[in-house]
Amino acid sequence: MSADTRLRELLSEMAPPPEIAEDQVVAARAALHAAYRDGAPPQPSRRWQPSFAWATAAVAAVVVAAALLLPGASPPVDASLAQIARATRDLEPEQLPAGAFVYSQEASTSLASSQVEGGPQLFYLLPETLDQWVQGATEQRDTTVGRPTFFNSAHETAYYAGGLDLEDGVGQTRTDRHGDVSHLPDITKWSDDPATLRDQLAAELADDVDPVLDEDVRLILLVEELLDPSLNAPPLLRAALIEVVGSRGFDTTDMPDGSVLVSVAYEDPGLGSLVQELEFDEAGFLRASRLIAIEPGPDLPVPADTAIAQSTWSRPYIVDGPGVLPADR
Amino acid sequence: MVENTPTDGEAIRASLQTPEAFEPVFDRHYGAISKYLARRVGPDTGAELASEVFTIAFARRRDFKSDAENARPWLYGIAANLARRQARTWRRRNQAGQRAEAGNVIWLDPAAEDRIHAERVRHVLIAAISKLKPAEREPLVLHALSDLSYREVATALQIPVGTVRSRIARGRKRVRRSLIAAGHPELAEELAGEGDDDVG
Repeated sequence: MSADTRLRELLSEMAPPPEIAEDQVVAARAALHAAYRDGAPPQPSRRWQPSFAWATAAVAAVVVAAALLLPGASPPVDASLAQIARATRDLEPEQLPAGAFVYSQEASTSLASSQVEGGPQLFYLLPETLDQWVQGATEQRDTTVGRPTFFNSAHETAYYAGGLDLEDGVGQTRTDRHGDVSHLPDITKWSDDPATLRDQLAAELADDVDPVLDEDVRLILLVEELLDPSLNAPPLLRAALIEVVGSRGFDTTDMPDGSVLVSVAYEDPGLGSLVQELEFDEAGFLRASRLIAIEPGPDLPVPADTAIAQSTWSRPYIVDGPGVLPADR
Repeated sequence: MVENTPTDGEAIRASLQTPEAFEPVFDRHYGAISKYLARRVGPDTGAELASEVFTIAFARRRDFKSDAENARPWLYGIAANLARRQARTWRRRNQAGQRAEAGNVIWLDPAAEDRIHAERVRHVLIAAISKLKPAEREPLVLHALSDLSYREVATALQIPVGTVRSRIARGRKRVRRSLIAAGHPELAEELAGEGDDDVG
């Protein structure tokens, strides 16, 4: 048996090919027939042509890399972010004692949707609190689901009448423990030299082409991943990441408490006009992330200016073990 | 009387004049595309995306290469893009970590837990595949979850067939390394050796 065949078998054990319900086929056929009736002339591909997407990303990567390779051509860094980067670079890196864990808390709210059988699709904002303890590949994650908020009372009534709060686990805490392979990215491969890091990020983005998101947004999301407090990135890496973000010409806002908000606006064909924000505190820690629907598109039945995903993070704390909360939190 | 069923290429070309001529493409491929997407993103979202694959394909039918007769790789290419977009959307919206993690690779059927030797093995294998670079992960997963040949995967992802072969081999090697590191050499051994003897 070939290795490919064995992999297929293993994945089939985990995710067997499902039966397709007849009503699903009927609905899909009806959607296709509606497209026939619309009579729209066949269009050339815009979003779904990989060759175009790859080419665009490759050109972008080359442009970024070329700008970096020019002697003395380091892009200017936004003054507020440069100040945070300087302050962060001066911090001492924290050593993780043997047996200790990094604890952090993320409070998030995200747009969710559910359906009672035969009923309409219900949309609401579902809050979750994630307490994480990480030591290498050993993790404990406690996820507590809060009460959702709704955009109209009919949806709220249908939600609770249909018992969807039980399906969402509202009010419950789920604990996941892993001790083998971390789901978190490996931050040791990233350089803390801003110029080298910029090249690494450009290469990563060129390698991870998403036909929907533009490069600025993908950069922001990648930085968000790498600055996840549970990774407890060292100060030099945090500073370098913030410098790279600061050199892209994004809008920034100085917040009263010394943190800086970075904003990137973009358009999504289904979701509409969006703004992705990241907030860094004065020590270069990621404090918050928000995705705001400024003008929601057809796939997004929410009021304008709704934050359809937002997270705030604690700083990382070193604690003695999983389940242990920091004393000074 | 024998009725001639048009090839995908014939049906798509005819649909440029008569939209309904597209129907055999749906009849022939909806089931496979739908199953693939259900395994990538779950049954509910998979059903939505499978429908979208065919409306997108219909709208973009002029893109279909006139010299190709089989639309299957083209449709899988659209489906793979939609699955990746969905995983991105979940990640972007920070939905429950478990869901987003699964959405990057494969939808884990909770009812299938008993069918795999151990929960830990399941987690380890999926985590190992999740950690692959997208450039290696996409061909590997597409090949594993569909019955596409290397050449058809190459067509679907619009990359050379040699690149598909090397990326799948590299991806499998990395998965094996992760499995060994995670203490599952026996599983790694099962994935050792040559891939499909498949030149498409």
